[in-house]
Amino acid sequence: MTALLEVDNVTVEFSLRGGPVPGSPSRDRFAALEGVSLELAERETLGIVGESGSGKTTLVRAIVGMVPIQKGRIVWKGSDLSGTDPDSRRRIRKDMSMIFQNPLASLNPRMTIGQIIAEPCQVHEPHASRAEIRRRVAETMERVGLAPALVNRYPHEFSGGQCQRVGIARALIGRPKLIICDEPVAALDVSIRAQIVNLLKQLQDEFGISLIMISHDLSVIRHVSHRIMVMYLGHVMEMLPSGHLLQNSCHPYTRALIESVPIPDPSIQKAREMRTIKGELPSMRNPPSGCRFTTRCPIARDRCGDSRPALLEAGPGHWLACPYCDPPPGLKTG
Amino acid sequence: MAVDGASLDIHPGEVLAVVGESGSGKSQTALAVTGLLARNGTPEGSILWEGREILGLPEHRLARLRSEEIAMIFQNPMTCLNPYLRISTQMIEGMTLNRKMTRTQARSACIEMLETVQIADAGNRIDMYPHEFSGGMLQRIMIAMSLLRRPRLLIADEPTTALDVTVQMQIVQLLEHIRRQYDTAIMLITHDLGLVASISDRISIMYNGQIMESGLAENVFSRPRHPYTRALLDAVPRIDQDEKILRGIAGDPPDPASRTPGCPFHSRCAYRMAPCVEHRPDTLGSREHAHACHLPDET
Repeated sequence: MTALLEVDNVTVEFSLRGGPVPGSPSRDRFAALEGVSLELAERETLGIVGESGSGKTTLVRAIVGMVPIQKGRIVWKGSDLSGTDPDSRRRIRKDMSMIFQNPLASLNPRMTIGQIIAEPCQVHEPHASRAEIRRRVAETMERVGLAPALVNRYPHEFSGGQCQRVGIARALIGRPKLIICDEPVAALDVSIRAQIVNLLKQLQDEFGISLIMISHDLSVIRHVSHRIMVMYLGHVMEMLPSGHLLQNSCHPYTRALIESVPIPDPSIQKAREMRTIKGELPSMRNPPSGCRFTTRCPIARDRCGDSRPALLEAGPGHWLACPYCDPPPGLKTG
Repeated sequence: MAVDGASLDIHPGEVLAVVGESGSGKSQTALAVTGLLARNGTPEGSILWEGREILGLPEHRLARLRSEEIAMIFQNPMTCLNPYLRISTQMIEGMTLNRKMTRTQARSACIEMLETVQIADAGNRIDMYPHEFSGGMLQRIMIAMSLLRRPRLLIADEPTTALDVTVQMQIVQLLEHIRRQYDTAIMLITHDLGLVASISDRISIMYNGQIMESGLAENVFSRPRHPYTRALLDAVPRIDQDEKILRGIAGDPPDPASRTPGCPFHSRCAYRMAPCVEHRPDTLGSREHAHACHLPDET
């Protein structure tokens, strides 16, 4: 089975004066993303975790073509996106949509909910009749739990959770194959988060959509994803099935992230030994050489700074970029 | 009414978490304590500081209280510091204003406090500008600044929300260390139940300006009595558990400007009964565990 999406060794560089610079030979650039690869199957959810500056948002922007890539390939259903002409690119782009973190800020305040949800349809299907679009807007609103009667309201009349439903309806109306969710629940209240997470899962089942879910919150990611990719300063540190995260993950950064997530139960949480990692994310403009986690790694050795560790298969579906950490407990021999 | 009949107390060296979603009144409660409510806010009731009424104190007395006894840190440390001034200028200002201290004395006291909050090379870095620090470092600086006057109470309003996860835990450990070292009481205002479980001794759960449940952290988490508390705990995914379904709370939080005569949670409550709509439940229980609900207590 061919993958729906394949990201192959992709590098994205930005110029230090701001903005992406395709093919410019100047040296005042830095790589926000370096040699990143992934595959996504149909109906699969891939969770991407990492702190701010880890490159997760750059990666998804590269996938939808919002930033140009300097190296590597992005392959959609077997065809290389960088080689396609603008027309077919636009046709492919119709199969992907995005949901953003701040639901109110990502909706145009001067458009009604109906206009916002209809817009992707009007762009991608210019021949659809008004009646047809109206019908689909109402249908999509119902699907995401919004009363179709609200179609002429404006975003400011809605709560955060409802705005995020509008964002989901807008992403859904073109019947995409892939929805990319960039921190979809981070800005929402706890009681609303679960509603939105459950809605996304339900829509995925119903329409057979693939999801890429970006978050810094490992407990949400683990809950919704089939596989998890851990990023740090533009490199992939580890990738594994989410069911294996607690037992089998072994990269020191993944372990640090897991230990940083507090458990909402004081009898467990207060007894936990919190081994916080020191310091903060170094600047992307001047990243450490070799393994990028070296400067904060509890098990770093001198050699870690020499060369970038390869992402190697550590078990079924488990990829790891650290040669020195203990092997996953499930795979220990003897 | 943003806060309606909320009561809480905090002892020296104690960490009290005030938990609630946006619009629940948790920040307004803290602002009322410090006398920093917006001009259109009028507090009623009683706020006792070490047994003495501070509600309605003249502004200069409140200012003194805020400068010497009660300190506050906020969610976004970047917006709390003046970007044009060096850290040293901003830290020393308060010291020379309130205590008869020379600049040199104040400066060394500031450097010492920066070292306490684990800013490496504090002697040089104190002369840097806010933009030269990361978010986590700035929050450490804000904490150092708030501690300079050895406050008895530190109010921390969402102190870790704007920080990366690995840095959040560092700040939690720092707050814990401060409480131990200086016996400072901490009022932690947050929506993050994980953070609450990490550090607090007692909890007050707020909803729409009212306290729904309060008590020792262990009691509230392990034997939650109020349907809202239970629903909240069910809505949070846990990294240590393999639950398949998260239960959200249907509906949206009520508008803080609207007020019902009954329990504020009744419209979203799965256990709603007739009296819930009409009458506000009394708060029953003790300092160890209390809640306000018409449901008969099962625990």
